[in-house]
Amino acid sequence: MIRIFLYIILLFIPFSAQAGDLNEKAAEEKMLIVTGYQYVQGSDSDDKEIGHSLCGTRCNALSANYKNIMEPGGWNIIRISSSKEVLTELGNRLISGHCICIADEYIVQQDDRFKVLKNKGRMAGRY
Amino acid sequence: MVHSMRPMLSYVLITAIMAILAHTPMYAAAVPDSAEKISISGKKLSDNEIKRLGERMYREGIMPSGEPMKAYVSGDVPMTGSAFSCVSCHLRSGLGSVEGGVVTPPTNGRVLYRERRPYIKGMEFVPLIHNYAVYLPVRPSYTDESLAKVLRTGSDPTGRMMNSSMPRYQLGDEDMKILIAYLKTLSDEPSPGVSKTGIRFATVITEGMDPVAVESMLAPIQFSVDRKNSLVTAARKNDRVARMGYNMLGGLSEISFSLSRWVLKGQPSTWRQQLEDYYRAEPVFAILGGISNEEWEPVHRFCEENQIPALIPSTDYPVISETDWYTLYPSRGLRQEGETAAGYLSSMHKLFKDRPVVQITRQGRRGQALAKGFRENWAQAGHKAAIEIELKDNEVMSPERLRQIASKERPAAILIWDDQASIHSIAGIRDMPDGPGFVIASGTYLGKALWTLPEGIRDILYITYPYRLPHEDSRFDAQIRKIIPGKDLATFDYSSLRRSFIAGDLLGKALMEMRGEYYRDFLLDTIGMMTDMHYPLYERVSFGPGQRYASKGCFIVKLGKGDNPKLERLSDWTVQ
Repeated sequence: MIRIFLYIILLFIPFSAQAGDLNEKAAEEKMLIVTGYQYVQGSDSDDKEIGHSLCGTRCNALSANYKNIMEPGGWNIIRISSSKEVLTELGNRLISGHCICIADEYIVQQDDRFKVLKNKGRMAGRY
Repeated sequence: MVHSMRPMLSYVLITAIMAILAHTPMYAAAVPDSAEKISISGKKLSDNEIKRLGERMYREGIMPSGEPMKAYVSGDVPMTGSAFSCVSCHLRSGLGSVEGGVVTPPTNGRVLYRERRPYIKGMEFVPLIHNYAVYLPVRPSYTDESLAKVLRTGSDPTGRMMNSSMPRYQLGDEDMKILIAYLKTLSDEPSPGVSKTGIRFATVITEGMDPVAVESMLAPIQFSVDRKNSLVTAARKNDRVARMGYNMLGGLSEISFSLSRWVLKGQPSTWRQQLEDYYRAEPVFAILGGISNEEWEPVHRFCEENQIPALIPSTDYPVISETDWYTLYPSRGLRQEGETAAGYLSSMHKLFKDRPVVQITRQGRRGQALAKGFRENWAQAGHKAAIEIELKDNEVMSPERLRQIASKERPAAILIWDDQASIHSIAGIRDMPDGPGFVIASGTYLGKALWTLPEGIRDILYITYPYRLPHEDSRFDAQIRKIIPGKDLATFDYSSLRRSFIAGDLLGKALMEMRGEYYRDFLLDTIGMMTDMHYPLYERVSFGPGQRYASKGCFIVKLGKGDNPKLERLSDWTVQ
């Protein structure tokens, strides 16, 4: 019985490896669209106003321009989480502290909704 | 059912016929000359003088006396012509515009002095040149008297009143004659390089350029020309292709393109004469692309003086001008990176607490362009001038020397406009407790060395990067591959290929919208009316009337960790 179980596991190893690759590939293609931000002072001497302004720049920089993905064609974005908090260190000698960026997270996928499947006579896609 | 379909079919048929007829170029010149000579204070004016004075009235709203033209808008709101000049709506070519739902009809004599009659008897509206979804009412042809009346009162020859945003100009008889005489010259004679069967273009290549960069610049525009000509050839052989081409492109479908290569040799001071010789031998409608890693100014001046549009030349040293008209550059070049650094640091200036900025510049064209961009924008923002250090030929900034400078001057920011030779010196200030908060270098100056910066300095080095990030730009590669079929993208020069792609695509789109009106000013007016586009290479390419630098922004980035690092944005697309 144990032997059969081991055979079954061995049989499925290649498929699970492939699935792992796909997940890894999908995991690489993530993007953020930032909707808000705040500055957290590192010390009392840090200038709150300039820190907030710097965090605005840093958090906006995390945000991807979705048109870079949609305009060339062939790609699509799907939201996987919203209002996610992303910590960004300012990493500057003149001001300490960090930024909390509030962002919606998306995965980027190839847009195959209108691809006609071979010998199937129907279109692929997520309907 | 049959009955209900009939009106719809008739409508489709009529619209199709109108669209086809409307494609016909309007070459009929029925503009009456001014019967009498125009004079001011008893002095008769020459034709050139009339044109100069009329141009000033049209473009700047300044009367021959030097006073601003007076006008009323929206009924009784007084305005001066300089704030509401003709050119701001009717554009430089006089062929009008469509913007934000406001339709400005053509105001050139050739169109005004021709009856706007329906293509089909009984129709009361005629499609506009720019946009066949926009219709203008029929009217008889203007005369000098009825044109003067509409300019003064807003009442056209049919008695219809113009939109209230059209100024009613308060002009005396002589001034009115001058303006009308100028309108008669607008977009009147076909532009050089254009015939009924062809449009000639040229590209400019300066001697000594890297052959790969030249080939990369040529490939996209040659592809655009070849593709257009193959349609002409196919249309001649096949009626269905001809009909399809005509429906898509109108008269343009029968017009062939040619592309000449003007190679400039020797010193830049001799280029002007070479350009004149080329132009005399073969006048061209426009210059497409072009490439130089030295000067571009002689070509710029030549185009400006001969009124030749030049689209997207591949150069890092564009001529910066707020008033020049004929060259449309991809960006402000290297200088734009210096300007971005100034803007970025200016927004952080409060952190500096009176600590200075040090600017280290490699002697030579590249460093100077970057330094100048920074210097001017930094001064414009009202900051104290940076401490300037110039690196002479073969002089390299060592880590020790940079540390000495940082200890002595205690700068809040250091800019290093040099290649990797001096960038490595940053290691010398990495661990200084009171070191600068910002160290900035140019991504363009670093070139390929950008990708192999030592790990130790990546965290503290801010880099100006005037392009879309490469891992995001790669999605546009599919578009580029279409124009270099069968060739490996990696064998081309990255930026030259993409800039030239923009030139070819822009030309195609503009010519399609010009609908037979192949005038140089109209080409630039048409591009100015285009909405923002998403092209390879630049994060955003935008146009507007009179704007001459297509990409206006730049990122501040840092290089990520690892052997195969990515660029990480530290700012959004900063527009100066």
